[in-house]
Amino acid sequence: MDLIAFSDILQGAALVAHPSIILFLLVGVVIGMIFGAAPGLTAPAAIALFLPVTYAMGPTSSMALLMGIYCAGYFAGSVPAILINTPGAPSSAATALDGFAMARAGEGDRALSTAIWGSFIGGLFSLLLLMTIAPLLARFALTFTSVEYFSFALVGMVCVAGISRGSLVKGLSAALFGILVSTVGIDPVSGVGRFMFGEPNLMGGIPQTTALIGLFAISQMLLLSKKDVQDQIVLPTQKMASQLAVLRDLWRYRWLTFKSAVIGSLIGVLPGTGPAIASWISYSDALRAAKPGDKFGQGEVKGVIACEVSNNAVTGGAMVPLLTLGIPGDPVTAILIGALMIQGVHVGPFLIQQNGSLFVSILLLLFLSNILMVAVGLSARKVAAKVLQIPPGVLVPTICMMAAIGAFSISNSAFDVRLVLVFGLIGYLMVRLDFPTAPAVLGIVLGPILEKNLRNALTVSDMDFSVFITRPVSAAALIATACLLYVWLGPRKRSEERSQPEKP
Amino acid sequence: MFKKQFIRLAGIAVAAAVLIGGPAAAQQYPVKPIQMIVPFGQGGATDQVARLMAAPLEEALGQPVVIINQPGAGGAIGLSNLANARPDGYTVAIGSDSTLGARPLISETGYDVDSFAMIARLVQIPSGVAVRADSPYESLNDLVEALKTERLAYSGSGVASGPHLAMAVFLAQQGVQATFVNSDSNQDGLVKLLSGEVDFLTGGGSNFPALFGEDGQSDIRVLGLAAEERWSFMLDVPTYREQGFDYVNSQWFGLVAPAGVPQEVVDELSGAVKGLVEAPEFSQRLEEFFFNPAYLGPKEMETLVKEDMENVRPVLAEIGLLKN
Repeated sequence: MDLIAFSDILQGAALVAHPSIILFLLVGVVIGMIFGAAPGLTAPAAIALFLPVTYAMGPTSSMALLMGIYCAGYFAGSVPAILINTPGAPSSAATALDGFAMARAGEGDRALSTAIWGSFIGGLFSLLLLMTIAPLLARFALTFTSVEYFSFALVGMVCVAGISRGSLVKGLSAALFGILVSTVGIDPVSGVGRFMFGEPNLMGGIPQTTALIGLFAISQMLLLSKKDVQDQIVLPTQKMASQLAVLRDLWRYRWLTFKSAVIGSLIGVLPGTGPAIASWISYSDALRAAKPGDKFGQGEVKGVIACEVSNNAVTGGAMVPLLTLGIPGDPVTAILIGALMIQGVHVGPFLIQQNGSLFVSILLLLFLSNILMVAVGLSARKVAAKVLQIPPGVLVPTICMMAAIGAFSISNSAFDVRLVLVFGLIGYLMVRLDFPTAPAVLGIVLGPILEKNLRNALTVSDMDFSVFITRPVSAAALIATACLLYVWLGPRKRSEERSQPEKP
Repeated sequence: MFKKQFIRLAGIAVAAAVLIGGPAAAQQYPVKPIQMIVPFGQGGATDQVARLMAAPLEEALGQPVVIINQPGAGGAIGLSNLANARPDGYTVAIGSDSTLGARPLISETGYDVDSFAMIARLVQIPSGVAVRADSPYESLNDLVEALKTERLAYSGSGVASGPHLAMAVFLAQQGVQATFVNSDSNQDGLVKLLSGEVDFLTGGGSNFPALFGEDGQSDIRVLGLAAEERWSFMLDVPTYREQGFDYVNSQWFGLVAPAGVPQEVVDELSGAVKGLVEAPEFSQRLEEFFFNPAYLGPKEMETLVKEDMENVRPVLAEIGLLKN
C-alpha cells in the first residue's frame, strides 16, 4: 500500500517492540481466553470492561491489550463448547455441534487443537487481507444495501434445514422460537414496544448473550445435575492429539479452510454483522459441500474447522471498515472507536494517512496476538481438559455462578440474571423434548438482521419485492439459498430417509 | 429477651444518628460514591461525555463517580432505571435532548419528563445534514426543492433519536416529506448513505469532521448545520439560516437526577458542573471530540426540554409516531 511510508513501518515496529507492549498483549490474550471461555462472558464484554482501564495508557499499549482480548476472546468460546457443550459466545454455538460430539468420542483434544490452529489460520488470513486490499474491500462492502444483508441472512437461516437432520419440524420450530425471542422489545423501525408486558427492562429486547447462556449453559447444568453419574455425560478418557496430525487435517481440508477464511473475512468486513453469522454461514457452506462419508453433527472435524477458521477471520475483516472508513465491522470494533478516540485518534477514512505508524502497529499487534493465542491456547488446553474431571457437584454451581455474573455484566441489571434462569428452563425443556437448541440461537442472532433489513429494503423500494431479485448480489444469494434447500430437502435426501428406519 | 432489648437500643441509636447526622450529612453531600448511569454502551458519544466528566467531577465533589452503562431502547432503559432510583443524589444519569422529552411521547418508557430533576446541560453539537460527494444536491435549497417533486429517503441514528427528530421537524416546517430508513447508529446510517441506499443523512455535527481529509476531500458533503452561527470545527459549512431557512437545532447532553431530589443536591451538582464546563482545560478536552461546552442551569434546562417537547409533538403526530 503506497499510503504508508517506509518510515511509518519502522516507527510502527519500534512502537510494538517494547517489553511492556508484549506484556500488555499477553495479559490481553489471557483475559480474552478467560472471558471467551467463561459462559456468558464474551469478547465484546471483556473489551467494554477493560476499555476504561486503557484510557490512562498510550495508544499502542491500549491497542495491545484490546487486540489481545479480541483475538483470544473470539477463539476461546470454543473451549467450553467442545468440552461441556456450553458455547462461551454465540459464535461458538455452531462449534458445539461437532466439537462436543468429538469430545464424546474421546477426541476432545483433537477438536480443541483444531480450533486453536483453525482460529490462527483464520486470523492470519484476514490480517493478510487487511494488510493488502483493505481499502478495496471496504469499498466493495459499501456497495451492499439492506437488500443484500437480508439475502445473506437468509442463507444463514437456511442452515437450520441442514443442521436439524433429525427432525426438520423441530429444528424449524426452534428457529422460529429464536426469531420470536428476538422481536421482544422496542421495534427498531417504528419505535413501538412489542411483547414487553409492561416490563421496562424488556424495552431493549432480550440480549443475545442472555438467551445463549440460558439455552446452553444453564440447561446443560440442569441436565448435569439431574442425570445419573453413569449416564452419557461422563466423557471417555480424552486421547491427546498430535499437533502434526491436526495440521495435516487442516491441510487435507485446505479448500474448506480457505473458503471458511474467506467467508469469515468478508462477513467481518460487512458492517453490522459479526462472528456468530460468519460461523453459521461457513458451517452451512461446509454442510452443502459435505461428502457422503461425512458425519456432520456427530463429530466431524470439518465442522469445527469451518466454524473456528471463519469466526477468527472476522477479526481482521472487521478492522477493514474501521480503519479505512471509520465504520465498525462487528460489535468489538464498535467499542474500539471509543478507545481510539479517547487516545486522540480520530477514526475515519483518513486514519491510515494521518496515523500510518499506528496502523502498522495495529497490524503487528494483531499478528502477535494470533501467535500468543496459539501458544497460550495450546498450553492451556490440558488444564482446560481437566474441567471434565471436575465432579458435577462442583462444576454446576461454579458455571451457574459465572453465568449469573456474565448475565449481570451485560447491562448491570439483575433483571438479566432472571432472564437467564427463564431461558435455562426453556433450554432444559427443549433438550428433554428433543428440540435442538442451536437453531434457536441462530434465530436469535439472525432474526433482527432479517427483520430490520427486510423492512428497510421495502421502505426504500416502496414495498416493491422485486428489489431482491433485480440486484445481482442479492439474486445470487437467493439462488444459493434455493440450491441449499434442494440439496438438503430434495429427492436424494427424501429417498435416504425412506430407506432409513424411523428413529425410535 | 436480650434480643428484644438489643433491637430497641439499636433503634434508638439509629434514630439518634439520623437526628444528629441527618442535617450534617445533607450539608456535606456527597458522603458516598455517586453512580452515574450512561444509558448507552461503552465508547459512544454519551459514554465519552460521561467519562470525560467523571474524573474532574470526582475532584470537585470529593467522592468517586462510578459510571454504569445501561444500554438499550435508545437510552430509555437507563433513564427508566434512573426514574425508579432513590432521589438522594447518589444516582444520576446523562440524558439528552431526545431521550428526556420526546422519547416518552412515542411509546411507553416507564418515565416522562416529570420523572426527572434537571441538573445541568453539559455540551451541545449542531444538527446537520449530509449527502454523498457525488450527489446532485449542492445546497440545502437543492435538497428541499427536490423533495417537493420526488420521494427521497434519509437515515440517521434510530427512530426518534435527536437527529431523526431534528430532520423531521425541519421537513415538516418546509411542508415536504421524505422516507426515514432506520439505522442503529450514526455509523450505520453513514453506511446507508455511502452505499446509495438513502439520499441524505441527518446527524450531529461531531460525526462529520473526522470524515474530511486535511485538504477537505471526503466521500460526503455537509449541506448545512443548524447552528446560530458557523460551527468552529467546520467553518466552510453554511448554517441553515444563511441558506434562507430559519431553523436552529442542536443535540445536547445533560445531567439529570430522579425527581424529588433535595434542592441542596441539585445546587451542589449544578455548581460543580458549571465550574467544570467553564474551565478552559476541560473545554479543550471536549473540543477534541468536537463537542461545544454549553452549560445551562437546572431551570433553563427544564424549560428547554419542555419547549423541545412541545415543538416535536405535532411533528410526531404527523409522521404517525405519537403514542395514543
